[in-house]
Amino acid sequence: MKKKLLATLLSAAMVVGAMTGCGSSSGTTTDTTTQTDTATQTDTATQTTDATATTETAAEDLKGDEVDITVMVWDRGNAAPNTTTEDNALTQWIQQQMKDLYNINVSYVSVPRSESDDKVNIMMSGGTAPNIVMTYSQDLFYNYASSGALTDLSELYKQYGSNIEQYCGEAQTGIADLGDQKFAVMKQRGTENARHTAYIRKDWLDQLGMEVPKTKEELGKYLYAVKDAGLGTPWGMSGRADTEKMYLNFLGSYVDIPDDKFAYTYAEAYMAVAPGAKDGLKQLNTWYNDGLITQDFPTDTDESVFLADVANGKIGFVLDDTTHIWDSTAVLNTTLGAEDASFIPVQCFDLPDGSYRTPYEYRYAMFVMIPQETTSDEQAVACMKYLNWLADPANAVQVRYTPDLTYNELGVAVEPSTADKEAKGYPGTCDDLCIMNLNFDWVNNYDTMAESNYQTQEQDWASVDWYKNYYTVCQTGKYRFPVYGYVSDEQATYGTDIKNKMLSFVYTCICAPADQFETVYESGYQELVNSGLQKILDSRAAYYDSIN
Amino acid sequence: MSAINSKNERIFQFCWTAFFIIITCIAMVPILRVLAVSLSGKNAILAGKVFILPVDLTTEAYTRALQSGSFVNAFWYSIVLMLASTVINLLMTVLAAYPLSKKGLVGGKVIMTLFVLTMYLHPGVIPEYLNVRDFKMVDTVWALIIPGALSAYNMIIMCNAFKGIDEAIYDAAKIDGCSEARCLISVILPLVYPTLATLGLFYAVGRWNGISDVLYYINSSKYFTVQMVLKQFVESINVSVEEGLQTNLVAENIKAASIVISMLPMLIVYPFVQKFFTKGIMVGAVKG
Repeated sequence: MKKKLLATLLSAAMVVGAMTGCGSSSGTTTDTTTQTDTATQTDTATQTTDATATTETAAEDLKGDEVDITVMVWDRGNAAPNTTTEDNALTQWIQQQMKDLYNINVSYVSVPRSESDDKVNIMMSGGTAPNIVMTYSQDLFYNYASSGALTDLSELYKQYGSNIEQYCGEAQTGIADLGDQKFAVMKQRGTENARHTAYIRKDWLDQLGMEVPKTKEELGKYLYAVKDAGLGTPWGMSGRADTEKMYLNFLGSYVDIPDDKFAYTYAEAYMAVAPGAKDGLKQLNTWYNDGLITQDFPTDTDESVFLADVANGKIGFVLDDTTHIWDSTAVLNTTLGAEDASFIPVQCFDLPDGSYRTPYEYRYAMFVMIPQETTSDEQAVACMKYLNWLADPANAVQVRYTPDLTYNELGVAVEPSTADKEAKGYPGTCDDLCIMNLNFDWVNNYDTMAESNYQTQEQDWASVDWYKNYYTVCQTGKYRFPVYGYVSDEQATYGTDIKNKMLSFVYTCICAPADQFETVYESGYQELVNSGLQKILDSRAAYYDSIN
Repeated sequence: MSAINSKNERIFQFCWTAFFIIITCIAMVPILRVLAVSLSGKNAILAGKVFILPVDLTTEAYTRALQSGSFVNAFWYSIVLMLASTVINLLMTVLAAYPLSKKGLVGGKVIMTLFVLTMYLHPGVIPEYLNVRDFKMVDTVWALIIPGALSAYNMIIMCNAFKGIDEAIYDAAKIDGCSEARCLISVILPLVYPTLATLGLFYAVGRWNGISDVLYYINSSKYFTVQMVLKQFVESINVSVEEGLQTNLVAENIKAASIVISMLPMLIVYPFVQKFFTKGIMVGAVKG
């Protein structure tokens, strides 16, 4: 059994190298399990006080024999002086809590963040994995779970996972289930965010005497007007080779999604080849050839040119990860000398029926797993107690913002300064120890978040109203693609390659000479099909049929 | 005729020199750019105004980098590790190369063949990891020293250097009563010091820049080398998307300052060893 397990993990180790670091926004598209577009929220309003009492009561019953567990913690090279990632004021505080409450001795194993999946793979293969490991990769999780490398948490979750169920329930939607077995608990994200957001220059709109566009047609008129007025590059793009953020929402707006089967089949890495998306590609190609889109943008793979153009006010419209251009916009607004002076969020990608669709992040973040080979039954119980303790927002907030946390007048925990954390011996990224729950009281009160964003900004570049408008725009057409906890063999085999080729395909189509668009599209599409695209789409459709 | 040749020669030399000056300048640009970014303000960097000269000059990034616990610890640890590793590497190389350079060594060819095979047959990451694990070296500093203690390639260079020494010198040493050990230490090693210095630099640079073994074998961040810490800084952008908005990224100028600081030991050592480079590698390569 061990040999078979090792063999499976060996193959996984070879495959995952290619996947590591591909933290693109399309990661969710290969993710799974039932998440519906109606993102129901659990009420967390009264969680803090109640949770503390619950924890204290429960802890008396849960304290058992002394158990040692090891927990993976990401290292980002930002430990405070004279501390390490796995031994600092915060880890010591957690260790003390665990010892006092549950008689559990926690020790930490450091894993370099940028090579996390590779490292986890090696430790899993070598039988030296800590008792709790994490990954954002659905493929990696599925590989472990289906090969018997993970502890079945079904019973443990029922017995010891009450806080996880109560406070992180939105994230536990079956994504980590295989059949009737549960092989991971999911970290609950904090603020609900759109994955990508478009921004437009309000000052240029005013200068051109135009209203904020509400449709793609109006956007087109604005782009041509910017070009004619010589204000700058109408639509700025970069050429990151690991994310489709520059075009996905736009292409998706050409695709009519009739039902969940269609949505699941093309979610979301395959949206560029969904029926209708070709029209969007053709439109981008036309605009590119008319000089409305940054020329040769695929060569700007590190986005340095793109971000500099945003900061220098050379771009009139962008579609990017939802807050990615904020720092650059801050520089621009500071240069222009006023808050809200330049970019404002905009939703103008109207669907065929006139409505909007804004894909949102899933409520789950990463897979938190307990390896079977290195974990005894007692340790598995202790691990679940540890995770359940971390799911309690009263504890999670102290881990996330340090036990010395303070709240501002809005009731929002204040992020300690780097200097403060270094002085007190806390790690640079406390979030790395808060591995279960970021869903605090205030995170989805958008008025509070807007006020909080305004108060904590380093430069006065945006007003409270700007932030409020941002959240309003993002929620327009809020949508989540269906996702299931299954990765087909076809997807495991061809998925990474297709994802890379898909980006290349789209960039090539956008940049093709106008008269060669059809030829380039057809040849590129055929190459995708030959590389396994159709097999993946067929397997996804077949899986959907099999469960519905 | 000779005047024409001389003129052609000068033109050739001029073009050749100009070509290498241009190549050198091109090679310097990335280094100067990193240096400029490390000394520039955040807004100037975001606006893309920094090329090879600093804008909004500030040394704040260096202050911040030198205050970072992870970076400073890793920096000093890496220097100690590099020195210790280089000493062990050279010791192993000399001790392997010296007997193998002897013509009369029984089984010498077989042993040399086995060494050479290690250059071409790589077992792969997981078997190597299992090997290191079974020797109980995982998460110890020995995992960064022992598995790479001997480079077959460097050993062959060393071996050829020994072979290039005239047999008469060995004979003279023996007539004077030297044992093999005394002969090696007092007579032979001083003759091959350019090779020793060159291989020492190879080993030192390899250890300083080495990152894969740290990733595979080390679980305690106190054993992370400076290159591993730098990698976390530089690649933080690649993981920020999947994590959402909560991640604090390391500022560009602090990344650059850290890179500059990490380059310093090599920049300091290199000029002193460079003069041995050509001589050291060529010693033993040409015989007869």
